[in-house]
Amino acid sequence: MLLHEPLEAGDKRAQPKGQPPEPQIIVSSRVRLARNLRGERFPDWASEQERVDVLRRVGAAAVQAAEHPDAKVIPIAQVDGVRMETMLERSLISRDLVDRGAGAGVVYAGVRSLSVMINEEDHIRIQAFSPGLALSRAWEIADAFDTRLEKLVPYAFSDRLGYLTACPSNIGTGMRASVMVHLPGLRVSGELEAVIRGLERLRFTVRGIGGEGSAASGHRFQISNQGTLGLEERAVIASLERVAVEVARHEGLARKRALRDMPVVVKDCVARALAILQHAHLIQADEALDYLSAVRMGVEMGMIQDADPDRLEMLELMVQPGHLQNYVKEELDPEQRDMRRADMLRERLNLWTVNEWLVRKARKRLIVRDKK
Amino acid sequence: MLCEKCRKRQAEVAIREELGGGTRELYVCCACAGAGKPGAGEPIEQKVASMVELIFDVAMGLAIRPAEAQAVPGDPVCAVCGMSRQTFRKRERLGCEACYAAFGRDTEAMIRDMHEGVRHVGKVPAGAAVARTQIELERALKRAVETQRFEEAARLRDELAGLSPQNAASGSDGCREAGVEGGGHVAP
Repeated sequence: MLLHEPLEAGDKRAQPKGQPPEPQIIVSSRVRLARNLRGERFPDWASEQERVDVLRRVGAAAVQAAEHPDAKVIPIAQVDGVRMETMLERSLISRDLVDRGAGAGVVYAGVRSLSVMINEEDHIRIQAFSPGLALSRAWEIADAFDTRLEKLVPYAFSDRLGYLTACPSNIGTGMRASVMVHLPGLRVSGELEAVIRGLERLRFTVRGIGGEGSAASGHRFQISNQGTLGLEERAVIASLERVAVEVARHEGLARKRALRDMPVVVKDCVARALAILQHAHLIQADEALDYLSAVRMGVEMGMIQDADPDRLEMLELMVQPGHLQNYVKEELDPEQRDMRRADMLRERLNLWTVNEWLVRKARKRLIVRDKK
Repeated sequence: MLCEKCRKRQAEVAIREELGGGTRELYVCCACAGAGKPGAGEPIEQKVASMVELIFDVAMGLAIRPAEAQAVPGDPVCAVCGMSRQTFRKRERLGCEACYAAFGRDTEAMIRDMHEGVRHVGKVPAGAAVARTQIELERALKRAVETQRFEEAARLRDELAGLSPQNAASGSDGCREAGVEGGGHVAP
């Protein structure tokens, strides 16, 4: 075991003694703006030639608006399989864009925080990302880019209906703001359904991480605004931020209640997940994400010895097919992937243990705080 | 979609209704279709609202391209992009910005269902902002003249004159966008 010590030293520094890491309940923020060119048919209805022309026009303008030496247009047809998967996993592009034919493209703006999809449902979809709860930051990035782009290409815009989009559900601001939240505690406590219903009553949409129609792997959900007409961007962002904070508070409370009222269930959930990750030889991405989600909850409750949240974050990305193949630097078929994924998880998690003493300490910390 | 008469139940039947000199086609629920006197609302197409057909419709709708789209007589078509109202109803996606005017009644109904507001507030692209200011100034000027507030009118006229160098470019946009809103005019 001593032989491993130097390798693990970095992990120990990352976690201050006796204090669990700050829970990362709000994982990331994203703002997406839908825009269309004036006088051009929307992508679904345009001919192939029209789409190719739009890609050329918008691509050149977006590269200029990016104001970054590395900015470039990437036609989807020219992206290889692994790179495509990686971009999908980072939400830089959507599945819808990939499924479209000629004319679909993405502008890499030189920074990870921004991407522009061209000829998806609309001519232009600007996306800005920011880690944690930072919707205002994401809005500022998207807004600034949009302001530069609108000087280069004319937008379809109406005074009354705002930015005109292919689907009437996006008119007005054309803005969809979303936060990704990690909610294992609400799931364990059985309150998840009620929270989702509450959010939907407040006119927010809740989906799995892959966006429309996808299941929630790893207990991650995307909360986004429903309406886009009649509310200013800043107001939408402020209300979504408030809602996200409230959801995160509920998740925190659910975790505490679970640890107080059913410590064995929580311990079983976390320890079992960790054991599977440490011993599996074949594991699929969704399965791995579900177990990593439980392990993350355990780490954030302070139940796992030798845990490093940065390593956990890295694994959450690397278990996904594109990132995994990028990491091992070869193209793998699904079965090979399941094997390499399991190898990586076993190797990276082999020293982590659910410690009985830490569980008791976590409960004590919670109960003392509750009495105050 | 919702019934175009009561706007409460799901539309299931298409009826043809005499209106002025011509006829118009409405998608209504069974209750509203039956409510009219015989002859007034004549069912011409029974729509089975099963999921299977819906999915099939969507798939078919997506497969249709402008060149293949068959125009049904009496079916309004967007003069700019050539999308027919039938196609739009199937796909629930518009063909171009002018479709918002061409299918104004349908889009307005969808917008009421989808959004809380009916009027855009928030960011306005720089070019449109100039056009908007111009329209607002023109309206204010008209009001000032009508109410004989001539001092204010003179000030507004000067302000409008100050905008004029850009008017040549953006003024026409303003008119066209106003057309999109009004629902009557389709950009050439």
